[in-house]
Formats: sequence, structure tokens, C-alpha cells
Amino acid sequence: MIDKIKSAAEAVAPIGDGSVVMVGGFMACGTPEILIDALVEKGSKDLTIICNDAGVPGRGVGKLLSNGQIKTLYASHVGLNPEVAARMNTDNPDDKLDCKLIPQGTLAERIRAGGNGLGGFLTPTGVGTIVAEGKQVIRIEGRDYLLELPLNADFALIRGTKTDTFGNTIYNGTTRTFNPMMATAADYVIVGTCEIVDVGGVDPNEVVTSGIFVDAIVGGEKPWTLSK
Amino acid sequence: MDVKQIIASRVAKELSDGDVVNLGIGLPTMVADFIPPEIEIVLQSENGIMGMGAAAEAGKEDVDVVNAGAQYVTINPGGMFFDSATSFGIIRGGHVDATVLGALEVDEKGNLANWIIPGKMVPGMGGAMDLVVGAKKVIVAMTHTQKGKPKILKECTLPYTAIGVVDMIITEMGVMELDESGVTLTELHPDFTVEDVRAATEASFKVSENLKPMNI
Repeated sequence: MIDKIKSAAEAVAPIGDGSVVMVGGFMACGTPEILIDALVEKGSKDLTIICNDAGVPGRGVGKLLSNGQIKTLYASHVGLNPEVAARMNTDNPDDKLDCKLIPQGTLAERIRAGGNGLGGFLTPTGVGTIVAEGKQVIRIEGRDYLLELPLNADFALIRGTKTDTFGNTIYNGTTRTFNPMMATAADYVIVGTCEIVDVGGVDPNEVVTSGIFVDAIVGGEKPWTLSK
Repeated sequence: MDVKQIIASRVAKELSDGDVVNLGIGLPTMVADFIPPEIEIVLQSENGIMGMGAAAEAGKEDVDVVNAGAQYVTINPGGMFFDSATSFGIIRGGHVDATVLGALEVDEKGNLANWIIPGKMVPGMGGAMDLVVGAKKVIVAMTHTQKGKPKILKECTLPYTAIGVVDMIITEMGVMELDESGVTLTELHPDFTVEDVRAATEASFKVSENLKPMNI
């Protein structure tokens, strides 16, 4: 079996400048902080980050933003990280953040489509709003839908609760969020997990993400907490 | 009761036994406190919970269980967790009976604006666009005016969250129902007159022949 266990630094080493990186989690619950920390340490620039939100300063992708590593952010909500608004509105072109706001359900489904071999999907969400600008509207049985296209990435940073050495991963509680879809939609998938067990150590009935999607496994992810 | 409690208490009366309900952050979250014990609703949280329970007791939190406002919550017996694609499949698929959320503006065609003030506040739409398009009933719960300025308008001035989706507006002044015929005031809080409501509302509205005191 391929040895997928790596240190955080080894796992993020291939993430170069300009990479497109999906990051799991919702308000940083379900975000692999050890992988984010390693990426901050590595200092890759001009990243395109695809994540539900911008975390908060000092948490989740908020750390990458504070460190000036994000050029483009795809997210559904950025209101709890005031740095986003400041960076969107700055006059300094080097600091300017290109923030693409996407309805949360559309974001999740675009990633799912990307990982599931679909050329896109039709959603009623956003019809008649600025989200529809530039998109094809298709009428089916009297109702308008927007054609939304799939999203893929070079890398996905996933947070697991328990992962076996093949990469089979389970997610506790509300840490699941975007992780399972992102694990299918990126070329290289890194799981930061709380506990690594031998193959056979996770019940196949409970596995959500198959090890076939996982390229690297990093242990030592801490339980998520609000205070920090 | 303060203004928010009046609104939350009235929203709770709209929910029926067995309803699947998504409550927005802020005032809508308070609705859960006013559900009578004989009514059992199933709360959906878009970050991945069906059967969400009350806020977690201090010291007894499960650190892996939070609501969409990133607060520690509990899950009720019979509940489950799921990923975000499944969550929004539930929402868009019409499996949520009612969604309760706040608004910056609502207009007489049922259009809703609640996610952006261009140049001033750009928090993003989060799950709101999906929720109001997918839920069977959309209840806007908000104060009737913002610093004295009407929020119920002839036409929204801010970018839409969705068009023609609002079914009901519940404020401290009363209850308005929206359909193809327009806006109808159906309940009035006893502290206010119809004229007070007209003065605080830019949209034109009818007064129901069966206008009732607000059911709080």
C-alpha cells in the first residue's frame, strides 16, 4: 500500500504559487487548521481559495488572508471576517482581493458536480438577481433555472475526525460540511485528521470519504473549539 | 415582551407540528424559544444538521456540533448530520416547510433584499438565496422600519436575494401576507393603528376584512 502519512509541511509542499485550493469547513468548523498553518508557513502566494466563507481573523482561511496569500476567494459568506471587506476595497492593486460570492447551495453543488463528472447543473437559486449576470437561463416546464458550471481545484485541504492509513475518513458532527465534495473535486487531496488508525480501524458503514480520493494524510488535527 | 420577542412569539404561531424549519441567525433564532411544548418542529441547520436542539449547556458542549452562526448547539434524538450538498438538496428540493429570516428590504411584489449594501456592507448571501427559493413558506421576521425609514417598499432599492418569494412579513406592528393580489395587513398589534402602519410602510397594502389583533 502507498504510504500516505506525511508531516503537514511535506503534505503542503506541492502547493505552489497560483494554485487553486479548496478548503473544507463552515466558519472554520471542519477546516484542517494544521494544514492551513503549514500553508501559512510555506507562504505560497496568489492562491485561489474555494471555501464556504473567509473564516474569522486567526482561524481557518482567515490566516491565509491575513498573511496576504489569497488573490481570489470563492465563498458564500465573508461577513464575519472584516479583513475581506478591507481587502476588497483597497486601492493598492497588490493587496486587492478578488472575492467571488456564490450562494452556498450553488457553491456546494458546483464542487459536487466537479467531482462527479457533471458538466454543470440547473438551479432556481439566483434567478432574477445579480448572481444571474452572465449566466445562461434555461426554462424547464415553466420555471427558470441558471446554468451553473462545475468547480475543480489543484488541491483540497480536508478535515477528518478519524482516518485509516488508506485514507478512509469519517467526520463527526458538523465538521463534515464541504469536505466530502471537495475530496472528490481536486487533483491532490490532503486530509488533516484528529486520529489515524490502521486499515480496518474504521467501520466501512461509517466511512464518508473513501481512501481512493486521498493522497496524503496528516495526523494531529485538534478538536475544533470556539475559543482561540 | 420587547420588540424582538413580540416578533419571534408571533412567528412561532405560524409553525405546525411536524414542520421542518430553518431559522436564520439573530432574531429568527429566538423563534425556537416560543414554540409551545405540544408542537414539535424539526429544525434544519444549513451547516449540516436535521433535528437541531437547544444551545449547548456551558461545560457540556460537543465541540464538533455548532449551528450556522458557529455557536455550540445540541442535536435531538432522531436527528442526523450531513454534508453541505445534501443540506442544500434538502433546502432547494422543497423539503423545508418554512424558513424564517430577516430583511433589509421587502417590496410589494414579494421581492427580498437581505444580503448586500453595495459599497457599504458585503457579507455575502450565505445560504439565504437557496433557502428563500426552496422553502415552501418564506417568513420575513424584522422590525417594521430601520431608524424610522420604511423597509417594506414599493420596490426594493438594494440588490435582490430573490424575486417574488416572500409569503409573510411579521413585524412589531402586525402581520402582512403577500400573494399575487399584493400585500394584505391581516393582524395589527394593539399598540398601533392602521394609520400608524401606513405611515411606516411605503408599499401599498390592503387591510383584511377580518383584521385581527396580533396573535402573540
